[in-house]
Amino acid sequence: MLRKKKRLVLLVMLAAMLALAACGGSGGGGSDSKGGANSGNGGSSSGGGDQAAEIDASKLPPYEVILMYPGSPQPDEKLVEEAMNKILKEKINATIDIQPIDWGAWNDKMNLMFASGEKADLVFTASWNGHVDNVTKGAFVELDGLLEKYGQGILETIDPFLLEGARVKGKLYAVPTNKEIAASWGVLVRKDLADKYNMDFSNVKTLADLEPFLQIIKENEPDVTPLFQSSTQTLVGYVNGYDNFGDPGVPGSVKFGSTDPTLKYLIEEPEYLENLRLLRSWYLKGYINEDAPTSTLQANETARTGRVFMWPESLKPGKDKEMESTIGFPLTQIEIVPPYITTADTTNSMIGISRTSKDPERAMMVLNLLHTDKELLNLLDWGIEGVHYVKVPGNDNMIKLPDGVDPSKRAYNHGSQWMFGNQFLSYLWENEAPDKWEQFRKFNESAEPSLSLGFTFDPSNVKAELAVLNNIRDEFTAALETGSVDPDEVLPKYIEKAKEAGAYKVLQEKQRQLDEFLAAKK
Amino acid sequence: MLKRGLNSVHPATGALFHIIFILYTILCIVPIFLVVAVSFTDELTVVANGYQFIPEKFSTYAYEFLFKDSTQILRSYGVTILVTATGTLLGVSMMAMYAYPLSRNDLPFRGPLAFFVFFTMLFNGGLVSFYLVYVRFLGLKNSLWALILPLLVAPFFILVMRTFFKNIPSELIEAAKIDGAGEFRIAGTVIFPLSVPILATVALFTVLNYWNDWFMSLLFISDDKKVSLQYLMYKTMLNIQYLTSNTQAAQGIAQGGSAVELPSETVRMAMCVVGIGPIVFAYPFFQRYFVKGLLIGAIKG
Amino acid sequence: MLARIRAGGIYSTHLDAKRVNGLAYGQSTKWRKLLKFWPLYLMMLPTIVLLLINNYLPIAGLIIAFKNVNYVDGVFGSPWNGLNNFKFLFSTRDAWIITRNTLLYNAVFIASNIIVALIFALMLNELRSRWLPKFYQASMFFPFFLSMVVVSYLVFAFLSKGNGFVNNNLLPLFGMEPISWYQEPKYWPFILPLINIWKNAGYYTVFFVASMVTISHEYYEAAVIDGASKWQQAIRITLPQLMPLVTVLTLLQIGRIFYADFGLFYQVPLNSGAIYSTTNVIDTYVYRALLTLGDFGMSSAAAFYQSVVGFVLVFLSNYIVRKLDRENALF
Repeated sequence: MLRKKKRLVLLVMLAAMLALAACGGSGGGGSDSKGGANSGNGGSSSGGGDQAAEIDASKLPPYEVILMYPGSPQPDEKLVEEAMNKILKEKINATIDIQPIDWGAWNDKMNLMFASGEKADLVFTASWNGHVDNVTKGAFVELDGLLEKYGQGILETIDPFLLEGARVKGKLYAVPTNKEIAASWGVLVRKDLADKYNMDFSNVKTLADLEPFLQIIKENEPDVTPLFQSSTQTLVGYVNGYDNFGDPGVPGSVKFGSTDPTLKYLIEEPEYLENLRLLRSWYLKGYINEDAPTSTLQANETARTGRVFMWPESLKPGKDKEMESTIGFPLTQIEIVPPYITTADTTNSMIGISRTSKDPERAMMVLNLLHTDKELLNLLDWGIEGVHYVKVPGNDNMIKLPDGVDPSKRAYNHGSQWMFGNQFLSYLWENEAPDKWEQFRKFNESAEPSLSLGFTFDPSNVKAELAVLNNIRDEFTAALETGSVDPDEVLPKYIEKAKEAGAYKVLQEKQRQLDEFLAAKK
Repeated sequence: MLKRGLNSVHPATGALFHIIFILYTILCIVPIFLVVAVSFTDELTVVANGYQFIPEKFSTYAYEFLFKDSTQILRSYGVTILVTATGTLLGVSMMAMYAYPLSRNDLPFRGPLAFFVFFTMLFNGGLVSFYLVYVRFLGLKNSLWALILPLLVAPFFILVMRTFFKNIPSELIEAAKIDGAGEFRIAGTVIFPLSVPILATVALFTVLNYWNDWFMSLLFISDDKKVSLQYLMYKTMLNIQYLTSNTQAAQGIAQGGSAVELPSETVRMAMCVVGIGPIVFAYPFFQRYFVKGLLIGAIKG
Repeated sequence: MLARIRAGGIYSTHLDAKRVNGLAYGQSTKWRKLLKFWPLYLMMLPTIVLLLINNYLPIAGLIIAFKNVNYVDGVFGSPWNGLNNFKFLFSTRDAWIITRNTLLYNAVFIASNIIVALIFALMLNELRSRWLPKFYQASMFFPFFLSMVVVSYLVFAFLSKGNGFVNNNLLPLFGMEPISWYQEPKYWPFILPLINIWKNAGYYTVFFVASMVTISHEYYEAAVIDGASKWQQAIRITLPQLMPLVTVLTLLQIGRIFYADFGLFYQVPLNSGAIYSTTNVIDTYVYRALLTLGDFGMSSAAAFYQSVVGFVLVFLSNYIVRKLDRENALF
């Protein structure tokens, strides 16, 4: 009886394996819902030199480029696609299929898409979204050759630091969005309250310098939380002055501006403990919201109620003005860590070409147009002129909502503009600074490249250790960094547990990769 | 006097039972009221004051926000209702038709056949291969069948049903056989009519499984026209979970240059209300079938 | 009883036929017997086909647990990875904690759900009222509709340190100091089971009520004649009649004992690190571990481990049940 059972199970498993091996494998099967039929020249790209190729739209077969990015689907997507297709058809005989995927589904869907070999062309990627790991697994097409041939527009316009920083082991697998290349870190502050108590922030250099202001608010504004933090948005997490190479989960950081390539384990640095002690004292003094370690509210959500004075934020020029419209209070920003160009900054928003693309060349052409064609990019960013926005009279670069459109009911408003193409071509909204892009350029020029720009960590050798460390990190960081527990008591436990879980093995692996990277750079 | 003592519990005990149930009922219903109340409260008031049963400042903003795209919501209701109805009808029939033979003590191979079902509760091949089967093998991407088939048969219900069918005296089956009834007629005219309570129970739970399912929509549906209601409501919760548990993503996005706008708490509550929606009426509908018998029994007892 | 004899009969004739008449004859009677049951097998066919597609075909995916997946070679062509994918489950000092938490909580959940639902069902059975029992039962079902995310908001409204109901209104009544619920591990072994019962008791009560309906009245009538009290009837008639269902429900849940309710353990404690020692279970551990790594191999390995533990436990329990009463066993 039992043997029969076993045989049955084995038989079924065997059948299953056969069936799946047939339909899984390396993709390219016949059941693609879209695109499979109208392409078919994917393999013809290998020939040709490295020079830019002339594009003759009439000789290209029609092809539909699928663009996948995280964001909410928009009601008027089809209209925008049609408008974009007019331009794309004329220039490269292509059409576009925009496929936004909700944030909560993004990771699952991407993994499944790559694993099942479904067709996709342009895909959003970022260092914080597992870019290196996906590259290691072969999810993306290598782009250097394609960029030379069909991406001249990108090469001409993009900041070279961006491309340098986006490379994985020397090769390019995704093109960064052309935008600010660095971030500075600091806090946003309610300007009306600051003015009320004549606060002067010009001398703020360290976290400790913020204390007097928090104290004033605590004493005079009983309804206002002086410093708002949440589990994922903490002052120490944001403003620690260390470069973590775009992955705060992996031990091994370098201090901004340091020329010493020795990796430090942030939680063991005396500075880190100092900061935690400071935050702890603030927490005890009531400067920080009590539920900070478990709060899932975002700072800007709470700030809208007018009950928050200060919160940590990633900064860039005009960030305060940008946030004012959502928050509804006048704001000002205090920069504490000056801008450095790090891998994290240059790789936080990129677009790659999926290995499952049937025509990577055409995908690159579309990408190139997004970096050079102002009309096309703005269609994707903001929708159709006259329907989704109108130009501000007298300024060709400024836009506003058409009369009678309720701001909360916009039919094309995905909020993902920072993921696409060349941001410097994007229209500005009425309430933004007219010279925003000028400021950005200056900001970019003022930023210094960090020592290890372009270094990305490949986790494949230490995944088991990282998996354990992720849990330990979750267990301690939020509690420590919000100040809700005593660091002198808890931090040693954290360090001990992390070491036991192999933190140093990861650190050494990272150091090895970094040394290799730096040696190759020289 | 004696009769009452035997037929029913002592009045004091009965009263005690009522008190226990009333307290427990309050515990179960009050949170629902709270959810509804919060969904009708002004958003800023909620962040400032926390949850309150009587809104300090009444607002229908959350529902206006949700229904700004009312065609989508109505369409999703349609999808969900269609999928739920089809899936429940098909599923309950299939499960009953599997469970009944399993309950027969004379069926050869009933052990392995029961194990065949139970095994699927224990082991599964994981998401990737499941996805491959549905998308590559069956080609069901963006098909409503991809929402129906995965939930059609629940091993749990089959094995519970089998237990119920076993309770039916086998003499009934024998008698029907002597009357010349075939197996299909026995199942259709003897077994299933006698099993209305369990069929109704399983139907109710299958309805709920379909109604509450959002994961199949997440996996297989990218066409807005075919998105189920629960996914439409739940995806924002998924977004919130993703962004609040993934420090890296939160920082990356902040650095990338935008804050992902999450709906306010009042909207989340309104989503919950809309998501529960008409399904609360499913319970009383099915309840008739499994409580009626109980009351008759009680009165007679 | 009759059924059991008949079942035994078939089994023994089957053996006899084989022994006495040799293989050829044995097979032909076997076929004839199977043929007799063809309508029953036909009824089962749709479900068999569906399970083959839904569950057995994808089961080949189990090998992913032993693979280092890359997209170029495809899922099934990727190189083997030995047991490396399992390492993260055992190489941590928390391995013991998550295993203990998962098993203990689930054991408590299984027992409490069934016991509470049984008690509720028995009590409902005794109520003398037309619509109140219906109303109670329907209300008990309400929490089941709420998603865990919403439950977590409600629990937070209760337990939050600042303006939570318990700290603000309840504890002062007893002259107690406010408690930081989300920082104190010791309370959660009580909070979580309570929430679980609150959420699921209604669900299981339905099964028992439906089952009580099918108990023959004759038993009770006979009991009344014998002068048995209501209490005795409940203990001697209703409970034993419900035992097969209790057994099946328990066994079925033991099979899933190593799978935890992710929402309950992740959303409700608000992912608060300070209370991991009593809230971390295997599902939340794996989620946290792989959230940023996104590794198929490792997630499959975790699922495989969960399945194997469930499989072993359910086999043991089923074996015990078989020893006690063959009819109540699962297979």
